[in-house]
Amino acid sequence: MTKKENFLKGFINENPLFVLLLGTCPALAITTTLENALGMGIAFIFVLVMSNTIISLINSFKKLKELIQPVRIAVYIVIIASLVTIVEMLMQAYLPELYNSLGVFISLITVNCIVLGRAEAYASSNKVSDSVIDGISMGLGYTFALIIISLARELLGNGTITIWGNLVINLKGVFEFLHITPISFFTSSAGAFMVLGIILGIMQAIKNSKEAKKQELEKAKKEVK
Amino acid sequence: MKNNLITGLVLSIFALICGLFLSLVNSFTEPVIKERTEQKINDSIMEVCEIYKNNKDTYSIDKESITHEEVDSVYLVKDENGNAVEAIYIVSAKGYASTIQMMISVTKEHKIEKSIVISSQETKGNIKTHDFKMDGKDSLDSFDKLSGSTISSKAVRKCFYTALDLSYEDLK
Repeated sequence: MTKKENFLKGFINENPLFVLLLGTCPALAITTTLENALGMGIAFIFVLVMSNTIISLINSFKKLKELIQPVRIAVYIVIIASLVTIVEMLMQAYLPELYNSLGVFISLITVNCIVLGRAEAYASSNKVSDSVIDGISMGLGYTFALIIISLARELLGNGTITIWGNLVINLKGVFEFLHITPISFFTSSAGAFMVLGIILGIMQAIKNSKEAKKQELEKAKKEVK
Repeated sequence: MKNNLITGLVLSIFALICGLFLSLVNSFTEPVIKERTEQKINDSIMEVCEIYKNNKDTYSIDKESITHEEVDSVYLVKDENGNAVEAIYIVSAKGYASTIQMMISVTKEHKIEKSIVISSQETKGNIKTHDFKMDGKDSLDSFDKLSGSTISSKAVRKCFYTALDLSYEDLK
């Protein structure tokens, strides 16, 4: 896999949320506003990139790799939990509003399957540079997925898009013009499930249509031969 | 046995290094968090307590020890002679989706002076801006609940009840 392919895989082909269906719990809980999604995404990228880097670095020393082998998962968890706590402390000190808004879900990044999954499946057996790219790719892919869900939920549920702090795009006028009101159901947990389900359905439909076209093309090629 | 000891030692070393990093980050974030918390409480006190806001030289605020589990903090506003003239309570109650924390000031006549919602992550209704019509009241008879947010309103009502109830002990 080239570095470009490694970087791009997290967005669509191996998107952690839309394709691998990992980390769905925080994704459904915090995507009530775009600001929450961005905040969670930044925290997630930091933890994922740092944990991938450190774990890949540890495993690049043969002797150290052998030493931690029996307790590697515990070591990974200690590293990830420390990184998450650092993010939590920094966020509480410098971004208190966002910290209050994300609540317990910052701490829960520790047990997010994506972080531990990438550490065990990728960072532990690849070069440091590739692991960094993998962390950035997966982190951005997850953030991208969070942004899509939060945009749909906030727009349909509140008629607004909260970019950051007081920077809010108010689209309630558009709803009024169309003689409809925002559906608050989308800001609830059930609404989150529905939005995720619809997005997964659309992605599956696109994938199926692409595969069908590919098969038709192959069939046509065979007939020509 | 020896291998187990070595792996245990390796894990301990990793935990120790992580602990050192955490204490380093904590050393510069903790003062900021503490300062921000104190600032937030001071701002809230200024908002709910008119007499202290207008006469800072005459009145003083003392933090009292907590005697009830529903209360997070108790502040007594005292005059020059040290007599308590007003009590400020930080009370919490479980709402619909989060714990609602309120600051409520109660006068010597056991009337609510003012109240504000300090923190709440309730999903329905804007609980922070709603007027529960409790200012100047000494009972919950006139409590105006937020329509569509019954559970959140019940939590707010509980906060008012706790503050009024405790004021009979603190402001004798």
